[in-house]
Amino acid sequence: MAYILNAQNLDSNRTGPLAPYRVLDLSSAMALYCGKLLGDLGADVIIVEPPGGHPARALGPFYHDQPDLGCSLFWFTFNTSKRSITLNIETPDGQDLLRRLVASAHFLVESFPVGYLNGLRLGYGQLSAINPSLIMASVTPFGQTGPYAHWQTSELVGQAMGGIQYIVGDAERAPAQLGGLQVHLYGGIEAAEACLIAHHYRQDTGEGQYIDLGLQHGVAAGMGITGPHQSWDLNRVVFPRAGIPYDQGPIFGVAPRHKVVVPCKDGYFAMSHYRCPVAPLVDWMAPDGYQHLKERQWSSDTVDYLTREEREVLDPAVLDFLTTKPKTEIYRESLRRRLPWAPIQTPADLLSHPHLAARGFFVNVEHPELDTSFAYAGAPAALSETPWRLQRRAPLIGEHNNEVYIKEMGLSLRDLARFRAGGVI
Amino acid sequence: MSRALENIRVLDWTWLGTGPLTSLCLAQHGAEVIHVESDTAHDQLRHIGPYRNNVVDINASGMFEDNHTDKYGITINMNTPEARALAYRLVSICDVLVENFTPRTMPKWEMDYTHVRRIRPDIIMLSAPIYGVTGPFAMQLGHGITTPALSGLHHLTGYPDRPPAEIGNAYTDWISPHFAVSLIMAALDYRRRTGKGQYIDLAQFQASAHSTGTAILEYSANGHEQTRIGNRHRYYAPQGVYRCRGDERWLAITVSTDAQWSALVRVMGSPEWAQEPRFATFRARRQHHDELDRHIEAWTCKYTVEQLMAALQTAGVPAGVVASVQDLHEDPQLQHRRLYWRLEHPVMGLVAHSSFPFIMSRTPRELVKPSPLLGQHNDLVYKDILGLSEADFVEHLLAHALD
Repeated sequence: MAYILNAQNLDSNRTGPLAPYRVLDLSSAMALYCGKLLGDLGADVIIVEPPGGHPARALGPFYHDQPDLGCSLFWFTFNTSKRSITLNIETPDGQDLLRRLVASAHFLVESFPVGYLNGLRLGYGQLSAINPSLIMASVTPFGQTGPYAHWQTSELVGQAMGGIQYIVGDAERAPAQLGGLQVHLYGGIEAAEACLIAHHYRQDTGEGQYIDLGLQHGVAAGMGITGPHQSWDLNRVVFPRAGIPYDQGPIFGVAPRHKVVVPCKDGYFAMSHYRCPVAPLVDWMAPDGYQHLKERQWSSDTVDYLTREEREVLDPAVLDFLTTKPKTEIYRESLRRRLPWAPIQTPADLLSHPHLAARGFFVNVEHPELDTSFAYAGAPAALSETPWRLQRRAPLIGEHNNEVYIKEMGLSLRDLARFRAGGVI
Repeated sequence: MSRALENIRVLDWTWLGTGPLTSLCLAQHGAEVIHVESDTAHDQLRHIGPYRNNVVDINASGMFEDNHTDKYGITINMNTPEARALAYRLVSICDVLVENFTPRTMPKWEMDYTHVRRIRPDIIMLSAPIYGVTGPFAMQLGHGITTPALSGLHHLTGYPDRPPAEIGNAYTDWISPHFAVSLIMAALDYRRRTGKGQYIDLAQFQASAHSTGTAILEYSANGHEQTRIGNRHRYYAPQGVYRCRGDERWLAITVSTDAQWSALVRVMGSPEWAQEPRFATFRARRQHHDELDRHIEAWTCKYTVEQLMAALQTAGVPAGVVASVQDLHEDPQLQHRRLYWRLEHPVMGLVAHSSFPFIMSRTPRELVKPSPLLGQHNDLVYKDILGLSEADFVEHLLAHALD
């Protein structure tokens, strides 16, 4: 018979497929998105902050550039749908409270340096003795074991050592990091998928387990996409970075690599030859002095399979043509003509995108403490039965201490005062 | 040892990146995944390569191989009248259906959720087109090469004085699958508790927008548009990528604490310039970042990147090689983690396959079978799993329903 965990302390306001489950989030900046995603899917996620606040609260940018622990936009982004308690797990009382919390938790996510929790006698061995069905995920730069297990990383170093950075950038400059926060995202979403795979097994068997996620591997496993790792494996060829002209052989058709980033009249467009139909493209260009391209017999219906000679004719013409057109017109025409292109969009473009508006992507979240509200990136997907939902804005420091310690764990006000005075909470 | 998802069967009607990588994760964790294509319309990965010695062969594409290990491969020709009933029979025995076509393909075949739920009411169906299945741009074509642009990530990539940098990879195809797997697993749990299946309409556009970090809030809350910053950090200094000895050898360094700065200075041999007040604080270092970079690179270019990476990490400074794919294959840590699994493929021989990055203590991922040749498992899936009689199977063959 399947073992099904009971709902515990289910907050009736929470909705989503994971509403019956509780997550203890002890992660650093690199894995915060795990708890966020599980929380946005309805789980009761409690982030455990050291007294004084989580270090990620000091990470910029800040609301109206006020470098205040209550104003970190980094914190806001990665901690929606969580509750917060403060707890000093380096004190014996703090460790005792954490063990009590673990007894009622379904998941625990942490990203301390390798060996830190074992040193506090709070490693998986000790915690699973309290709660054998616990799923515990450790997210570290390189994994729990191996020659680099104790090395450090950063967003930049993570992208570099994971192999993605090597292929990003122009010929004239050093390889470039991807903008945004990639390694920080993987630390979260790869941990979340692992937790939920382990959860399926737990629901079958009642058994919890330990998950060891290494972020270098987490980035590098994506290097099969568009073939760099296989080119090395099969042909001992190293793909140079994307801005270096290079004939990559039969990949994306038979043509050499082309520039994706194309300047247009008022910005940049991403132009892909891959499965891009020739006829609607040259039809569009014809009235602007490119009638000869329309009249020409092309050897393929799609740009990626044109011959090198044909590409040497078509490519420069397309580039010239696009510099005369504004982004909106190129977007409209590529939609109409089914060209697989996309505008290089700024955050402002995203916030005013009619498609995202129609799908209700952005979610306006109130921040009463700041006396304002602003838009957050919303659901990655629409789920028909159990929608993804921002359950609440990111918590204030220890916002739910009373709720969790007194109402749910049954501590007295006096206990709480004693723990506060002792620097435990 | 058993794997976590051995009681789950997945109909994998996917192609290219996001769809196949979603079902790949399920397959590496034990799900029985049936990849569907047609000899009249191959998974385009078969035509992309790379191929050994550049010899094109639809049964020997490196990318197809990496994205489809541990799956069964079948063919079905949806343009024949017999195929639909057969496809519905496949649906009836599956827990999950994954597809990532533009949203006119599945409705055209009457394989959209409205239809498949009639066959299997508790099925979990995930569609993952670029724009999702609804909305005014739903029919717009796209793929992983252009989705970084669409989602806001490409705008943030590169140097401030230059256009957005070339990315050279269908990069977002490595983002959406983790969301997709998480959502499928959450929906499976919901089904276990309630008996209800559901439809998941994932827009790669939306999932990928989560890779822009704080850029959306900084605009919506502050009205400030983030832009490209090269390899620098907005707050810390120094951070950069520095040339080392050899061709295209680069070292990435991040200094985010004063202790790391002191350690970096020490490893550099405490040069005189580093003692100057204009490099004493973060603010000062940020102000003089160009000059700082020149000093650091004058030092790094004398050494190999491996020497410096080890020396700096030992001293407590986050630093690492900008790894090429050769570096990844030879990296001792990734070898220890077993990123690549070597499996014998009937056409390609021994090839390396990427594994998912998390190691589970009770139910570790395992890569067992190389990717299927086109239609390799038609017999096994249609006859042994679905239960078609030999006569019935032959009839479908003759009707070209299995092309």
